[in-house]
Amino acid sequence: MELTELAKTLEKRAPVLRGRILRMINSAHAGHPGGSLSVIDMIQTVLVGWGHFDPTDHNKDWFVLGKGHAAPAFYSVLVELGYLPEDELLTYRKLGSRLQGHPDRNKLPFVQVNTGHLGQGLSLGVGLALAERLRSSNKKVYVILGNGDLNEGQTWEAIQSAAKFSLSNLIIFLDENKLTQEGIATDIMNVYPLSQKIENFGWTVKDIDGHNYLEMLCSLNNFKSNQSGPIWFTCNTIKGKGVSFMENVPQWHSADLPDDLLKKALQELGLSE
Amino acid sequence: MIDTRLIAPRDIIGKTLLQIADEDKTLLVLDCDLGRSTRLSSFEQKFPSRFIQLGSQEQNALSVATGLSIAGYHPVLVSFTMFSIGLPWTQIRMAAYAHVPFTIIGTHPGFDIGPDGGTHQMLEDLALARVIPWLDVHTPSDIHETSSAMRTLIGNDKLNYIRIGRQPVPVYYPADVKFTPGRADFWMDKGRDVVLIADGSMIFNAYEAARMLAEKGMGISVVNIRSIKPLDEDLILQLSKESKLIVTIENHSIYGGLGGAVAELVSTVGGRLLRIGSQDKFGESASTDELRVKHGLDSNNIYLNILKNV
Repeated sequence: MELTELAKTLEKRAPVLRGRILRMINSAHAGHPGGSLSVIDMIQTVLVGWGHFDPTDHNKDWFVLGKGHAAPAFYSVLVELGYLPEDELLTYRKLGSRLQGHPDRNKLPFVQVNTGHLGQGLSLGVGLALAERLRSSNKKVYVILGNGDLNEGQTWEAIQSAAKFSLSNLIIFLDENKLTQEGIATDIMNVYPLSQKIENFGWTVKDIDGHNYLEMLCSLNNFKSNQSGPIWFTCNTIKGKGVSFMENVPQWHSADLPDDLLKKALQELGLSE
Repeated sequence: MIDTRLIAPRDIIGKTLLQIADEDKTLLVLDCDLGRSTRLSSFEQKFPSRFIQLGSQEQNALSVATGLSIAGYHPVLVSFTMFSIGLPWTQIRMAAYAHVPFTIIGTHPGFDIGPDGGTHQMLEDLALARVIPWLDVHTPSDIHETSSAMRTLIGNDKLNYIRIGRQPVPVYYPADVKFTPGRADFWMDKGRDVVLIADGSMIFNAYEAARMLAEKGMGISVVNIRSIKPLDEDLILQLSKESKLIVTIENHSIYGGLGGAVAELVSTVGGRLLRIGSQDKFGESASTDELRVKHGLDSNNIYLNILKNV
């Protein structure tokens, strides 16, 4: 499929994927809607659009959801890929569920790497990428990070080590929604100018729109070969994207979504209840 | 019969890794810029592509090891125990939570790092490690037992912490000793008046103290615990029923480590317990021998302490 056509197809599915996130959080009376809605287009791009993800196949790529609290977005995409039945989503965060608050490979086999502690995701990706390099495989490692990851010193350790080992099979998507749990990322702890800093460590960096499917697909396509080191996409996004009352409001980082607001949000997305 | 040559258990690390690497092609060694002190230089020279230098990035190194293991390798992370257990604790916990198997080696435990001072004297690692589910904790004693422990544990299906001494000790075991995780080993089995249970770095002092006690006509036994987790629970329960006094001796805080683990068990059946170790104190700069005397961990003080309590 042409990238333009593919992008359109993914874009059409995006409201459905967002709707699943909202239903999960409504059912669990807790979760992280803001960051799940900002990251969902990136996850759909990498796992569905790019199409090299199959956790049952050792030859396929690795996926690390560094910002593990956006688990609802990941679970939503797993339904899209046919790994999970839709109704299982309503077990999210409940006793006995495979859908833990943060992804757990021992409960859910489609999770390749457990995540949830900010700062550890990129290091896990470095380990996976180093392993694939040592065995000269063509497997790539995709890691999704959030703003909170950039406050953690360990992420900067991993940035240094990925550059040192010239891990050209490591691709980072930063969900740059510019908000953290308690407020604006620059107020909480200023790490900017960001892309320039990462570049100075020896990475290839590109700023893109994390809600623009065509731009994300084209960027992946352009960088798929001839790289000498790791790649970092700073994906500009809107926290709470797609639901007007959640967009750019830090309180929606972690919150319940009561029935009336779920209804309103689903209506905005053009979905029935 | 104890071989009187004094050799530091850490001196066998590099040689053992070389042996394992010949057979296990997935073995990788991760260093955090302490390879000369932790005896990794020979491995780095022979297997440069399997030696991963991560600098002073212990948290990164721990998570990198987790990633390497998930992707099918057998990484071994080696550093001072302050930095391989203390610094990356949440990273270790995440690896355990995810059931990712690999090996963490901690050298220079407790007072073994003497002159560097209280900042570096790790007296809390057994407690920190023991409390994490799915993480096993081992304390081999001499070079041969250490080598056997490494060959047994590296590449198995668990997350393992091996605590390896820095101070020279006699060679007690023959080269073909078999380290069995979770199975303690009697160094002396001559009665149940007092049973001394020691971790790998303290077993020699415990043994010396026991010989002095035996000369006083007491029935003494000495147990090398080998693993803090899994703990040889059946043996400890049996000993606590049979003996008049159990004494734990460890190069660690009396809280949460060997003494803590044994206390948890003994309390279920009753029995007297004396815990010898750091009494909830930090260390300071001094030689290891001086610190052991100050904290009651030399053989003479162990002997006197037991006499007082028996």
